[in-house]
Amino acid sequence: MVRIAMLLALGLSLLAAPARAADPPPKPAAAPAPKADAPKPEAAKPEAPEKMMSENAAAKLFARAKDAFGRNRFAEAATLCWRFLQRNKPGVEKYESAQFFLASSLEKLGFIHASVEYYYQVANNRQSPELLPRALRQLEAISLAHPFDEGMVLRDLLGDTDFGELPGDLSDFAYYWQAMTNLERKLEGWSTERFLKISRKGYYFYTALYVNAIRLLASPKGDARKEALTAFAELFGALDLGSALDSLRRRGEADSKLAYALRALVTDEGAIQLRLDKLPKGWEIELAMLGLARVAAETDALLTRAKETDEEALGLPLAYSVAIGGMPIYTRAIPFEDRGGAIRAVAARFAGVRAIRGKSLHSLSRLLYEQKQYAAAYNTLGAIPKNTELSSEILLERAWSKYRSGDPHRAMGLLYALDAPVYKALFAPEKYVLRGLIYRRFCHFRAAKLAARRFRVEYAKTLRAIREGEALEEVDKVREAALRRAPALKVHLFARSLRQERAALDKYEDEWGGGKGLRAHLRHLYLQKLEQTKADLGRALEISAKEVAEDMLDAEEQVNLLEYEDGQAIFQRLSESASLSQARKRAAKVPVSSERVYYKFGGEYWTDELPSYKFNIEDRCVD
Amino acid sequence: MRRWLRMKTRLGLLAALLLTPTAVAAKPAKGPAWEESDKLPAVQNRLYRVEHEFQVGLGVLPVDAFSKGFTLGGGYAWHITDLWAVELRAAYLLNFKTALRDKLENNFGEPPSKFAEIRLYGEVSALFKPIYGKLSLLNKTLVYGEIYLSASAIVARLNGGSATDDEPQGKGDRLGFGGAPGFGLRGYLNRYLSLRFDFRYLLLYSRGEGHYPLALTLNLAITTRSDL
Repeated sequence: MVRIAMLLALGLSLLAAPARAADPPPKPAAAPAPKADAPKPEAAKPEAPEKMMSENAAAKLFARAKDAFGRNRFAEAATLCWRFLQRNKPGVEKYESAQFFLASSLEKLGFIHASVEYYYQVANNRQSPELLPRALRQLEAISLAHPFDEGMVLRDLLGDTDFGELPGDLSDFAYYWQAMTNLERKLEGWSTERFLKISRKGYYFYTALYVNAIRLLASPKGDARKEALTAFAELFGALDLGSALDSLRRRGEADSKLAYALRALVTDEGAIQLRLDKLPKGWEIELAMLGLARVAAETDALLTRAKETDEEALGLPLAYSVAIGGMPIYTRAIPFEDRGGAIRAVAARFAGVRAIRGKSLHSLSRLLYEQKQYAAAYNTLGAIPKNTELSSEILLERAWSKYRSGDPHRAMGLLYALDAPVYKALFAPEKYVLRGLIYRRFCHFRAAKLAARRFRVEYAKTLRAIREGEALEEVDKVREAALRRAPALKVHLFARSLRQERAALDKYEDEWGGGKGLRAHLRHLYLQKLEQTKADLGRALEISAKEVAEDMLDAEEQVNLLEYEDGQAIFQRLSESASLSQARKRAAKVPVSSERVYYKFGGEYWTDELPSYKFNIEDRCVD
Repeated sequence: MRRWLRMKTRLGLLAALLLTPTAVAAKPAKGPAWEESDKLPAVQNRLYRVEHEFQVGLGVLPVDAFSKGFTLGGGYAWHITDLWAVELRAAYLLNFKTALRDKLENNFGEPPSKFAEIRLYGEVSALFKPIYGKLSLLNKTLVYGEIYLSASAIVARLNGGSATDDEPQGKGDRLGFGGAPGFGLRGYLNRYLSLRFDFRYLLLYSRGEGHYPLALTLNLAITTRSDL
């Protein structure tokens, strides 16, 4: 557990900050920011302005641009907006509108980064207040769907700017990122204050609850603990905390660790009151699991209902049942007056809520595993919605859970699924270790040794390169695995999208051509960002590659041990049991006809069957 | 030794937390054309992938009331992808008179040339193979197969038909042209041999007359694999 907490502390310190060159000195997020005179990123400025336009000509040019946009001629609209920006000074009427339409046109054409640069300009300058929410909304949509410049948008713009009142749920977007920026800067109190401003529904609420459940694990002591508990308790809500405590009492579980932890947060009257001295040992795990289970349960109920948002459907009763690893904790009905809003808020960011549900279940399963609740961990992993978390990770973790819960047949089946072509790029040296362990468990010592040999065949070259001190980022397998891990993954995806978008500019050579044309400007913009991202990626890779190399060396050590113990076990079995050669258990017999249909594995992987493989193996051990 | 048994905590919450902010799909730098988080094909490592196919087979044209044709044929198919193939086939027919035709000829004096018969035919087809599957046989072994649709252009050599008092020899030897929609089933015997059953409706037109026999054929196919 200490290990988790340490890792989480590290995680929070790195939170969503992929390899920045240098942190600014800590200051609370959302301090009033300069407005019109704010410095703009150099790249988004039009180059040396050409001859200025008259007011009348500018108005006509803008009207043409708007008209082209309205007719879905986005390339033309972008050209006209660009011409407007080149021939007018910042501050003239419609200047920000031209930036906004340029951003929208570029977004429509698939130039996400370029559009982010211009939305950023509009949101940062705020000379036309009516454009601010529109620009922020576009930035938010991009943040949920594409790799983008997180440093610029989430921390520089959102984290450090007080936008005042924002319409609808846009304020949640701003509060959430201000809270995260403060958390990253270790300004715990400021972070809590921002988290608590998020409205109690929708994607940002569930994400905040998720983050604060994890925050508990990373903040075991001092002020950080108090802030983490305050944020968690307030976000979780007195009613839910009270319901959970009451439910535990009713079931005669008032002496459980979770009940004690809840009693340290909420009074018998149902009011939040922290009593830190009453926290039991292991409170952080209990509360974190409860928080994650709540996110999973509530989002599940709401996602089901969010598919239909007509008035009649919104009014139907709605409740969620929180359970940790199949163990029911409490059930709570969402009041009628909150129901419509909660469902609509989830429907508005359906994919995002689904993703956070996947993350919550995944994190919950890992905590359950650490608590040695293997069957519960396995079942929780099985409930993760498809395409939210990496299926290879889920399969591997399910295999471990099954192995530890005493079902090596299923565990091995799941490991076989990991050999499917789709997981070719998966870096999981421990799958060979687990495979070897399972074979040994059934006294198939040659097969166990073969698993170890397969590990060596797969990774020998890489291990040699690591030992010879080659730059880790240059070793293919290490690099590939490192690119799939935080913090490198996000920067890698962003760099990849930058390269793709830059290449796509060639399609507009004719329309946006010329030395001072939009294409030249955008190429320069992308080039600059690519250079910066390359440096960021280098730093992120350094961290991830080191972790991968350590994991690989660790796995090799385990494989060595496995081989050694296999050799020992062979002799031990022979000498001890030469006279007692009664086979313990034969492989299960396949009936000719049964309610279960058997498909023998023939090397063909049916994607829907991957989580269902079972390894039918004879137990060769003798008693 | 026991530490083998712990699951890596690096799989822990850290990575999940770090990836919280954006719902961006994780994709490796290199990998198969379809990546882990993309929409996946239903079958990976498809076992039965064919490229060139040579076939011989028998068949029957069973629905003509006056004669039953038995075919002896063969063909070649090129499977361009797992989904599409083009095919050339030809068949020679042995026609047998039915009892009804015997009666008409013997009791009612109808001339043999009144009844049209197909002597042989050739076809060029496009095959669309959307369904590939496996079945469990007695829970012990698997039977792999596919179902496909076919559309063919046909040329056939016909004989006889439409004899009248003015034209007692009938229409004689002639060519007919047309198309043939149909479908087929293939069952794989092993990686190189398969059995296929085709059901095609021949829609032939010749000298102002239509002929619409149904052709059922069973072929043994020898195939080469596209992935080897």
